[in-house]
Amino acid sequence: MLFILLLIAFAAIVAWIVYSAGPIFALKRFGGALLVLVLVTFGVSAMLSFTTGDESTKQALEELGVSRNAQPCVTALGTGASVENVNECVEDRGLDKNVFAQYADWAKQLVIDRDLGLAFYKNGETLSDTMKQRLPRTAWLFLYSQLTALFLAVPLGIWSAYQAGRGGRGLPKWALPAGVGILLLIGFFSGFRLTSLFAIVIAFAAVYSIFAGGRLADNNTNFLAFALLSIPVFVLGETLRYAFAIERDIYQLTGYQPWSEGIGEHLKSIWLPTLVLGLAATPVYLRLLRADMIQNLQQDFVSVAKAKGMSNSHILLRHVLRPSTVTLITVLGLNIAQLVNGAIVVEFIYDLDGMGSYLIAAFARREFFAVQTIVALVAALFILTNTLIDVLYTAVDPRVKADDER
Amino acid sequence: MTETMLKVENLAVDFSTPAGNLRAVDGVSLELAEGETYAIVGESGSGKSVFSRTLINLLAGNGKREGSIEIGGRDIDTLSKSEAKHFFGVDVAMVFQDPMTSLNPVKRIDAQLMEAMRYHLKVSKSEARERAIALLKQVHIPSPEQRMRQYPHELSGGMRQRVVIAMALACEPRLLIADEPTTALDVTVQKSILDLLDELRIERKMSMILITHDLGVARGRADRIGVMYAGRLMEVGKTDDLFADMRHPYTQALLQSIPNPAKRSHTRLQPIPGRPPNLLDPPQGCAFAARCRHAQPDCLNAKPVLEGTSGGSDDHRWACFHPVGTPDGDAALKANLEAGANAGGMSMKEIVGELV
Repeated sequence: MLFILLLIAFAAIVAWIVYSAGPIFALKRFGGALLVLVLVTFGVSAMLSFTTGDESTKQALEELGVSRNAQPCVTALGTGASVENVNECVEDRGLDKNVFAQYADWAKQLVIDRDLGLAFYKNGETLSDTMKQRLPRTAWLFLYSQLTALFLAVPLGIWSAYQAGRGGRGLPKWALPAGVGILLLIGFFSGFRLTSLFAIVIAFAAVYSIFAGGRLADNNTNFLAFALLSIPVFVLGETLRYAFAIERDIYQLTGYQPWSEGIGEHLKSIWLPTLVLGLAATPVYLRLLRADMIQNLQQDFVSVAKAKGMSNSHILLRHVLRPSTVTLITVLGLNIAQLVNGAIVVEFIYDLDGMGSYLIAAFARREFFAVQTIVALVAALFILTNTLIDVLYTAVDPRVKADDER
Repeated sequence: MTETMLKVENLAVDFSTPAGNLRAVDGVSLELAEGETYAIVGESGSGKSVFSRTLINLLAGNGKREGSIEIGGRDIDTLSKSEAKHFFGVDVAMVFQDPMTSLNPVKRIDAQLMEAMRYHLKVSKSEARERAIALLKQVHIPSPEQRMRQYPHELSGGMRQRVVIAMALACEPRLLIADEPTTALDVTVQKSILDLLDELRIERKMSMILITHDLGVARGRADRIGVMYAGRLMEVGKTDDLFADMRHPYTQALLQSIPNPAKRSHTRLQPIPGRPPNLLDPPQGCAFAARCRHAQPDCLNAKPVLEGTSGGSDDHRWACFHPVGTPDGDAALKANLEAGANAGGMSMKEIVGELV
């Protein structure tokens, strides 16, 4: 079912690309994409073939009566595997063959037999079952977090860029540190929790900035964004987990609930990791959008629109926003790669068994076949999204032609 | 007597910059009747663009305005917030210098033409479209229906400037400010754009402020001219009076610095030596004194005010202590030539060049 939906979505995207950028562009792009896919997967295959251990390991394995290249199988089967089991595994995986033969085997099984192979060799769990269970978690987490980031970054970026070119209300500069200090003192002596104090201070700074406006507000927004950018995801994740799930009982660490449990349950089970990943991505988007907006606000056409008497919101949203999103869209496309690797830390902190944590486990168990399959999937997704984004450029800026004859 | 369209009194614009206060426009007063063209001429940095932007309320965040501006009998300071919302862009409109950058590159022509009408006049979409097509026809754009759906980069420079003019005319302004409308265009297109502006001005009985650095353009198109230097008006008057009876040494120098077909071929152009004064640290006296061939010690100490045959329609005034064509001015020039340098210490050889 899910597979069919994905296929339909894929077909729709391809159709749209062919429609809006022409069949030649689509052919070129997808031909190139296929080449990239082959190169990437073969590269992974070649690199993985180097990880069969050093010379002493190989000699030790030979003395045990198994193949010299059996090291991945030994790891995958764990302790207590018999010599026969290991030999069978080596035979199954074709570890004794050369890289090209291994790659051909992998490609044949994936493309012709439509078999994704095993997720874990030892217990015979198939990769398709694992993905059915784990992929939605990572996919939803990623989708929600990107939406959260955009939801925070776009309005803030626009507002910040707008304030950068204005005179503010001229609030006294000492009001911010003074207010923060007083709040901290009151909070400290009334026995507030540290995380509450922190939240209060940030809220006060935000309210002060919104009220003050002008360059000061822009500076404060940037400062907060920069601070957020400097906090590693695991620190942010652990802090928020501590604040919301341990100190208070706002987020339950009950694990992921699928959509079938009801949308409320689903969102309740995933909102905090979403927020963490979203907050981690927000400052990047915010700063990119702000910089582009400020640059475009200097353009003559903004003066013209002002001279026409158009309102500020009209100028910001209808004139400046669209040409300012080019960099943002680019980075958004590049972030697709995070679908698997960026979520690993958050999945680990919040016990969401997603694709990220599976990939780590698969590497640890030397499940090369599955790793290669996942890399291929991520690469395919990456290429598809970025092709989509190339076409989006033409929608954002008509001067850019997707099918650039060079 | 026609109605006064624009009345500016003692307009001053200050910018607060990190390097200090910068007075870009200093005590400018002018009056413009309905249907008249007033050209403001000056070199780069003379404050003419700031002046024009101030008229349409386009000052940057760090700018501050003093003095009063009356447009169509309304003091713009007394406008209520809701009136001001539909005043700039409606009663007064502006055409900018560079048509390559004045149009939003990612919006179609129709959207850019129609938005002001939709916003200010609250007309329906179909009516706005009709009016936009009519406007494009008026500015002589062929096949306007097709152009409407195009993006700015699909049009040539002259065509874009026509679109910009159409955009400014969308809400039927009574005062049009044209800030160097032809500077970025090549000469043949320049003429057609200026002709178009003239035609539209007469058709619509608009008043026009024409900002230009080209005295030639001003001479051909304007009823009256104001010569601006360092934010101050140096000489104002009816075009004919001003050219027939030039009084300010700056106007004279400006005219000598542009090519003149009446002169013998291969005559050297006479540039104005030196640079305009640094407005962050303005001179105490006349701003032009340092580069002026008439400059005397009194020019360095006090700023001359605009005076002359004041009042009535033949109002010709200049701000100079030793104006050209008066005995006093001739004496000043002669004294400077004899001394070899003007009161600012600049060599007369440099200032007067081949005239020596």
